[in-house]
Amino acid sequence: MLREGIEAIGESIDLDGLTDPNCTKIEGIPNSEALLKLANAFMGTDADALADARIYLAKDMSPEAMVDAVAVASNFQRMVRIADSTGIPSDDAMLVMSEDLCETLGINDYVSAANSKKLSWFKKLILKVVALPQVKKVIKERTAKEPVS
Amino acid sequence: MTEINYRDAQVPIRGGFAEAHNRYWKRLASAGAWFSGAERVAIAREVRQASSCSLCSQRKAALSPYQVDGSHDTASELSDTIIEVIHRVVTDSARLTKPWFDGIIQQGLKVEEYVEIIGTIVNLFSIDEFCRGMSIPLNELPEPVAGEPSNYRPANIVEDGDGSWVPMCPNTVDSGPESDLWEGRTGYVIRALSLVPDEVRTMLDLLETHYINNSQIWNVKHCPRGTLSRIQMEVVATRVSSFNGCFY
Repeated sequence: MLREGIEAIGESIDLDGLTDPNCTKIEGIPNSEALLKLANAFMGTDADALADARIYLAKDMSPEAMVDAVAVASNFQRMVRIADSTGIPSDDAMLVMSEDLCETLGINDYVSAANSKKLSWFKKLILKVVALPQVKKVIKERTAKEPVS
Repeated sequence: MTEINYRDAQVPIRGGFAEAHNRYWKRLASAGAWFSGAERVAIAREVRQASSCSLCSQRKAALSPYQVDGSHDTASELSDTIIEVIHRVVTDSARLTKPWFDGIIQQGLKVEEYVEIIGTIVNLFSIDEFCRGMSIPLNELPEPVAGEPSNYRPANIVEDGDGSWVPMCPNTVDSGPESDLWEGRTGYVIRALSLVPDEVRTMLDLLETHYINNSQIWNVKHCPRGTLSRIQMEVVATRVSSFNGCFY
């Protein structure tokens, strides 16, 4: 979804560092340093580091943005547990859409990747030709009237 | 019931959070489809216990969690099977496997009960994680409300889960009591708990408060509150998910 969002605003941003906890900034994404600092601290065990990260983000953006970033982080603590505990596979179209990114970011090595069966070349082809354009069309339609923020 | 409010937080927290969290607290205290209010609150208590369980710590540190035997440090009278589910999902969900799930079901837990337990775990956990992230004390758990579980099971269920471990509603539900859950087609992660539809309803309520409305998932420019752009939200989401080893 991140890459689709970036494409939707007509940008090209290198996301290679996104899954590397040592990567502190994504060039081209405003406030990414403060957001990643918060996400890292949120997933750590150092309460002081978390407090520092909140202050940093509140100053860099706003206190309201900081609260919403914590809310997003807490939401994704939930979504991963739903996925892991119900053994859901990745949706086929998403699998094809994110294939190269998953490879680049090392996401295919995660244990939960085993829940998604490898697609045959034929199915991939069908998805790329039929399903993917439909997904991109939906994204384009739903995004069309939204102002860039 | 004690009402949740975040008025004492160090920074202003918009009212929507307390409202959504109160809605869930009310549901948590009441009988669900397969558990009484008392059992649901006991599950919640056990969720909070898991993070200080020494067996879970040892398993988390082990190369494989299945190498370490022992008993969980518990905070409830729930069965060992339910406690195992709660502790593993809270502390080490990334290493859950299909054989583990099959073993849980073979011990006599109904898959419907399993789904309600998962819903209770994850919805409570996301609220607790929000409080932890904001350094706010955890909200006091609600007093259970008397009542019997409804034993409601949707009629329109894909029993093989379309390749998942659990049965779920089809990806399109145009009519019937579950038609309010989502519009058109939806992804696995939204369908995953639909064997117990109220768990999806709560999940979507909290999803809108903490993240975005499910109907806007494909709108990649959607910025519901004007504080974070969708791209900025996804930066946080992706980094957190990568720590959790989330392929999905």
